[in-house]
Amino acid sequence: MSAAVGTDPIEQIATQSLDIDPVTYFKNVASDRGYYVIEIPRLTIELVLKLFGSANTALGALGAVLSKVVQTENIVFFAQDIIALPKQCTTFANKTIQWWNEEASLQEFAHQGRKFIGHVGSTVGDYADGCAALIGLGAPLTALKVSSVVGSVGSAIGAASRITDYALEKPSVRSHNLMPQLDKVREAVAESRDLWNLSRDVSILSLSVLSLAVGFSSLPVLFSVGLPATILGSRMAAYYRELQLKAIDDSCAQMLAAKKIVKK
Amino acid sequence: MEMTAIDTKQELEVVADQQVGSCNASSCWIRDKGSYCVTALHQIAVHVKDAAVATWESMPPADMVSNWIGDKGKYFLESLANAADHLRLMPTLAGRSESQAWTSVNTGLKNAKNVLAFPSVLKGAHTFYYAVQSGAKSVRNLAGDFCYLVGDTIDTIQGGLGMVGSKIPATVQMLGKNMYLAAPVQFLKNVTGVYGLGNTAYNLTLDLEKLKQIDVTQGATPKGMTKKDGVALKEQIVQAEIDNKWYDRLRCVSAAAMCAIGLTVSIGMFGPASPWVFAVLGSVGVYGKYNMYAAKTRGECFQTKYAELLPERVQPLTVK
Repeated sequence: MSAAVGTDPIEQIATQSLDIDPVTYFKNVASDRGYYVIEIPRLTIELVLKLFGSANTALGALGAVLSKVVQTENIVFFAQDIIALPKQCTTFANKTIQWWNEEASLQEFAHQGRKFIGHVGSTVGDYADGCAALIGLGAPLTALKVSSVVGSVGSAIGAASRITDYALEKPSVRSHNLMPQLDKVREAVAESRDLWNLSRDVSILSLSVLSLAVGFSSLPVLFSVGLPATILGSRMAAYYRELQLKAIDDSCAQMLAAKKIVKK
Repeated sequence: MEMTAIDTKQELEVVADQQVGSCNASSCWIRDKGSYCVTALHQIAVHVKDAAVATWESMPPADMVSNWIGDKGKYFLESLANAADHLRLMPTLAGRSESQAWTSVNTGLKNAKNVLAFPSVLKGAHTFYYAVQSGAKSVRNLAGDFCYLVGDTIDTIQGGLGMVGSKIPATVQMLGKNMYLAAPVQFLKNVTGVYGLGNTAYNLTLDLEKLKQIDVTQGATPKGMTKKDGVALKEQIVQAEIDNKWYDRLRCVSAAAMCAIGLTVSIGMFGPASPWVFAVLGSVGVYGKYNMYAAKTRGECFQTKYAELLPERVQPLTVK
């Protein structure tokens, strides 16, 4: 029997653990999401340069350095995609076999196929950007370079697939076997996280499509700075939710103690 | 047939009398039926342990590596730079000159990684400020924090300048005087590195000693687990913490060694060190950083499962 909403001690502790102060948040960002810290001044400089002209060479040089550093995150993304690729291939291959043996429906097969194509698209997009980043750092890799058009198409496919995932799949939150009260709190946080991820993916898709249509350099400041800023903001907000989910798990000890007291 | 039945009944009564005579009813029940409970509890314990182990084992290394790359992008770039460093030096083994292509890859990645020290500068500055304000830290540790702050700041500046194809100038004009700059900055970086990293390695050694003294056989054994299984699970948690600190110390020692060698070179104590020394020490550092993360994740996994699967029966083991 769980207590009424808001009075259950476990739910209260879970709710309290959601309060992550800005300093703790930014320390976590600095430790595990260092790129965000670089991206903020980069976007600010880009905005200033776009609004007030690029006469300031020092600011321009700083912006160029930060831009090169931020671009290296694509190498990180590409590595993550490549590592996850074998698993995606295996899942898709298994689903294909199941469909061939009539153990899975055509819809299930198509769903897995779409996820696989989305992952490949995202990998291609990150490869293109990662390669450009390495070339920007002075690596002689021009032979391995792919067109930015291919990269944008890949990124768009990847983002579109993730948006479809959001529409079709439930929030990916792990259920707490022995503390079902937590599910309510966790689900709300996970839903919000997924919503922020959706915002990120919609922005990536918009940016990719606009880049394909008119070229990134021709985009007005609203899009060329606004969309990357939205991507960054969404990622930062989603990371905040991730930290909240982790905080709920970390407060397990307090919850157990509370449960013990209530039982007594 | 009848005689046999009576005999059997009498025999059973005799046995029952003997049993009742040797123990009271409740202890007999515990002895006879309690074995079922013990078996059931043992089964639960085995499941708890297996669930924790299976959760860890079900996390394939690919996921772990992917998480590490995502969380520690800076270290990932460092590992790429390190790989490029080895590839750069490979031709020297065959008596040829260093590979220019890999030199530029190595330099570019190293510069980017150095600029990524900037978030650490912000974090370090905040931590240092509050540590000074609160007075909670010893002077030794405060000095260590300050050294990290200085080192990360120099890294950021060096990386940023490197990315625009520039370096810290060898000399600058300050107050009308020609001041040497590049060499003192490098010297400062190496000195702060040796102290800061050495201090952390020392702290970790103390922590490791404390961790090794934890007696996992003491304290509450969770209900539903045998003492042996409870101890085994606690051992896993403590071992993960020991591994985390051990690898942290390894990477600190390797980085401190690099700084110390850099220092001896910069003051001209010995001749120039072989670039292989830095490449190998760098690899040890990257290896340590990855294993730290792996051990931390493993420990968290056991801690969470332990806490979740054993509600209200025992407090999760806290080793920090």
